Amino acid sequence: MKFTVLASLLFALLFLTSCESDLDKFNEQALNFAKNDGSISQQEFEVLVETAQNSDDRGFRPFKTEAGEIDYAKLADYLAKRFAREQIEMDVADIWQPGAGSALTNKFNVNVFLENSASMDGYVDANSTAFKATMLDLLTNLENYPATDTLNLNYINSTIIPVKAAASKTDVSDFYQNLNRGNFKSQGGKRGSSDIGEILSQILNRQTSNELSVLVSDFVFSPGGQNAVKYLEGQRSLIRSEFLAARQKNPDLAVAILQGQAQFEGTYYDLNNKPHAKFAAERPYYVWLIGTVAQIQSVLDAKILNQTRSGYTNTLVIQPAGEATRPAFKVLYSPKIGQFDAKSLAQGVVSDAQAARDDRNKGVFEFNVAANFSKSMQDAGYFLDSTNYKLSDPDYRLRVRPITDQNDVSLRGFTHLLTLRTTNLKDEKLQIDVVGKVPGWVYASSSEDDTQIETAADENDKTLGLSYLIEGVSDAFYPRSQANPLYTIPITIKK
Amino acid sequence: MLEVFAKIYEWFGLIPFYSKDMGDHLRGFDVTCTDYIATPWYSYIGWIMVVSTLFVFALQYHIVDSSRYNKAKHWWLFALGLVLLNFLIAFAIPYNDIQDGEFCNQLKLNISDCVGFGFSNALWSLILFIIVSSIPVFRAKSTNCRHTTFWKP
Repeated sequence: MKFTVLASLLFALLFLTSCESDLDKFNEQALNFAKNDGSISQQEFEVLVETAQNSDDRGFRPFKTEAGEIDYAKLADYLAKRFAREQIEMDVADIWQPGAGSALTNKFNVNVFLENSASMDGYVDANSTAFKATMLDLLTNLENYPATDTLNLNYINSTIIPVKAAASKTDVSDFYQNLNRGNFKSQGGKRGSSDIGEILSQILNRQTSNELSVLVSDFVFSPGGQNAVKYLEGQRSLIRSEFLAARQKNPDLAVAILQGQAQFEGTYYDLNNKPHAKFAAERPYYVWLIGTVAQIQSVLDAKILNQTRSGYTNTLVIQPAGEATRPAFKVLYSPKIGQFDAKSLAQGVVSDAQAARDDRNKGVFEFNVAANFSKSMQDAGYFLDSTNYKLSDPDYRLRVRPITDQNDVSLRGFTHLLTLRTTNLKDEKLQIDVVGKVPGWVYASSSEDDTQIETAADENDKTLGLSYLIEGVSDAFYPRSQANPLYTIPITIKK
Repeated sequence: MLEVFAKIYEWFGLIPFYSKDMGDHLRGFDVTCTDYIATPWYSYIGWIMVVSTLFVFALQYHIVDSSRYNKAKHWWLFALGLVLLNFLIAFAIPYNDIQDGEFCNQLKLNISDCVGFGFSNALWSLILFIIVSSIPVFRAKSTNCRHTTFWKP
């Protein structure tokens, strides 16, 4: 009797303390896969998916949809974090996922248009080779890019001047060697002024969905003595109209605008077409990519433009603002001001929310949301500007910071930290939208009067009428009467 | 059962021996601070407490079952062993997690939380031991200890 009781109790104790959950087995299996070759192959991923799919373990709940299907992206995110915890150097890109990389499968033609009006002479005449070297890097990268079918090189001013169709490595090198004032002049066309509306019109009119256009220019308007503001407003309307028409033809059209800096030495023509001879300074220039969303996404993801001599200081992508996508996000349990329960945070629900009661923060409720915008085409800086967000409740104030500490396992895989603060806590569905608009750097880089370019502070860092130009494009994609959300983060607040 | 044990250990919200953050860790809030998908320690430790209490009860009343150990003071001796064991288990598990960094770094956990949870687990094991050994039917088959409780003989 005594032995039976003892044996039963020991067996029960052993059973209770030694049981391993399905999630534990899954983790162990995944770690073994990862340790083998530092990646998760298609076959391994499918084995893990099957394990998770066939288990009722509550641990798999975060990777499953309401219908019980596995959310591959969430599963890959979880695995990446788990591996990081075990000091295995792997990220999401090392984990095979269905559909990943499919955007790169279609090849397209790349048409490069380098503006060769007189205002560009100063970049190619400069002693510094920054502009020319960056152009060579850009063209070489485009020529070698696997998705590039053919690379076509052109100059552009009042007309398109084809230089080389289906350019080879040698042609790219020749194009680079000929980047000088003499060659610019000999190519013909009307070089005396830059009609940017006309330049864009020519490119958009010949653009097809199988082509990516790359336009390089200083984008300095030439009002030619007209009232500058009226001229720029006219150009804004014209550019809007050109892009609206282009979007009618190709609703998937998008534009990426990159601002670079290069030494300018030569004659600068101001808004009155008055020449400022022997002007030397670092001046902005721009590379525009005009193509479909997939083409631009693939070029930006491949970092073709970043891997050039001087790189680019600012980037903006203007894309169709259709249905807003939901980035990966997580409501953080702390830091916070006030109290809330962690139980439903994984579902984006802040429950049992209470404002702070201490004297210092009385009535304040503040919490943080980590979001991952790394898959976005927009520059990371776009998401740091809180004016690019729209909150469904204006009682909330938003601050955004970048997440730089990738050693913090709870923040790994997220790029931005959104801090939300209110003094009017109530039950609600709070929607945080990232909206499409012209970012602050465009206005900071824009000038309406460049007549004092040699003496006025910062004027040489600015581009005449840049904001009008980009507003023209932006208005065609983001109508001012609409919200134009690009990304949305829904959070439920329950008191 | 997780929430049942959670309510019991948190004394139904009436007597907090440890922080709410420790409660979240014991519910299984994972190291990436995403969801309750880590080890549900409340369940595991709860069941260990129940089984160990039943084991100590069986040890005194049915396995040892000796006339030399059937006084109230002996009951308290077994109870002391049980309480110490359960305190150690409930203290050591979260303590090890803290030492190894195996917890969500957004939770503020410290040693006093481990002590508080250890105390709570020890107290519940004592209460359960009192209850089990106070019910005559459970003692009925004991030869030498069927009259032994925490207050007599």
